[in-house]
Amino acid sequence: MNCGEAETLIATRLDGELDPVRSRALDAHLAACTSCTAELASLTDLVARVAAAAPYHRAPAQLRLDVDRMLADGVLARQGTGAWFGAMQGRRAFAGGALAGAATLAVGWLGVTGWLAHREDGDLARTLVEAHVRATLGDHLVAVVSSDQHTVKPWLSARLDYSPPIDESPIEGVTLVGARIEAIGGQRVATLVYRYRAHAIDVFVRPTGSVATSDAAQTIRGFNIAEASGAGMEWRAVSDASLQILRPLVDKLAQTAPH
Amino acid sequence: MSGSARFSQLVLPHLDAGYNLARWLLRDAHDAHDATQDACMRALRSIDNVRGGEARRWFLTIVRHACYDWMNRNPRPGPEPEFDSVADPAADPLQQAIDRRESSALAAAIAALPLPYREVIILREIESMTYLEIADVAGIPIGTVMSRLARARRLLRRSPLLEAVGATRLGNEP
Repeated sequence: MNCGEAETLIATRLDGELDPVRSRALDAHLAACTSCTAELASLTDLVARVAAAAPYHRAPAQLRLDVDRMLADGVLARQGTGAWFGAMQGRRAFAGGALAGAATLAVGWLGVTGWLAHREDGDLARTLVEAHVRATLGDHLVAVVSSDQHTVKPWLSARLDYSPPIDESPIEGVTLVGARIEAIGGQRVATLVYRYRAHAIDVFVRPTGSVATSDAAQTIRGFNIAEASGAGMEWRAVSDASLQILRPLVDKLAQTAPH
Repeated sequence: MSGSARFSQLVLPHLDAGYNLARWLLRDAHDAHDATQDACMRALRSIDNVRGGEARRWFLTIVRHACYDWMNRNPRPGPEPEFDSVADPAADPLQQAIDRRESSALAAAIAALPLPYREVIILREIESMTYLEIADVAGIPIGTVMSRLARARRLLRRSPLLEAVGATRLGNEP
């Protein structure tokens, strides 16, 4: 073996790709060659330094939000609403913009009739999405961790002047994780946290009030929102889980009999 | 399973790796963001074609293509952008300062490598991919992977940026 061949084998072995036979041949060469032994030390040092110190760039939170939104659009395309093409066009314009990474609030109106008339409602939906994003990005998703309604209900009652009925497993695959309180429009609102597979679902519950609920669903920044009224409460579910989950979820919760 | 669910399961775990590759290839945070997002759209469109075990390799191949397309559309002449560094918060301040210099010196030295050498270094040293995986992602024969890696490492060792740090390290030894 000459030094040129040895140099190649040194790298191959460092990369964990050298077979035992050639590895032994390399050892024999190294035992007799100081310059190749120095090469081994130098290359080992370099590889270790690069692995230890080269910066690893993790995906920024905004990129994850953008991808979540894209996934929500993809779900719609499969439902045949034709939203995919429009979403693609919008995304190209978005990607071409200089501030593609900036927090842009893109609102996907899904043919929601009558919704535009409720300006207050649109703001409410946005506020709920922001509350959901804040909670999922930080570690404040759940203030009381429990899948037991007999723990969650008194926790909420002690902190609010109303008490929503609680269903631990309202529909197949969706389970209660706990709850927290959110301040929405100056009002303290019970927020039930459910989980569906890897998706966190926030269900904001408050006594039926001035803002009428609508059967229409919408998507804001990739998060889906479905709402329903029942049991004296307004129920609004926000999640990156699909509407095929959120719609039956709020409908079922709204039918929950008050305890 | 829906395309979105498959995407969440197979591709999302590799979003960091995809962004990291894009960030190193394009050397710019905004460009890397857009190229990774573009790659995600391409991946979602052909998500039915990928098997579980090869998802990372498959996604990184798509990210690489998206980066090359991005570079073709947006040629970027000019100086190297600055790289931010990563330091271990647990280390003592002096060591931290040295680490930071080491990290940014390495980042600068890698960023200064020509693209074909830079990408094999990232895939090998940072993503720990095998020669076969690198060959697949970069679309080159295994022999070329090996010769490019060797050349890249020679260039790094000869880099004046790294030599400066080496001198500092020696200077700090008792």
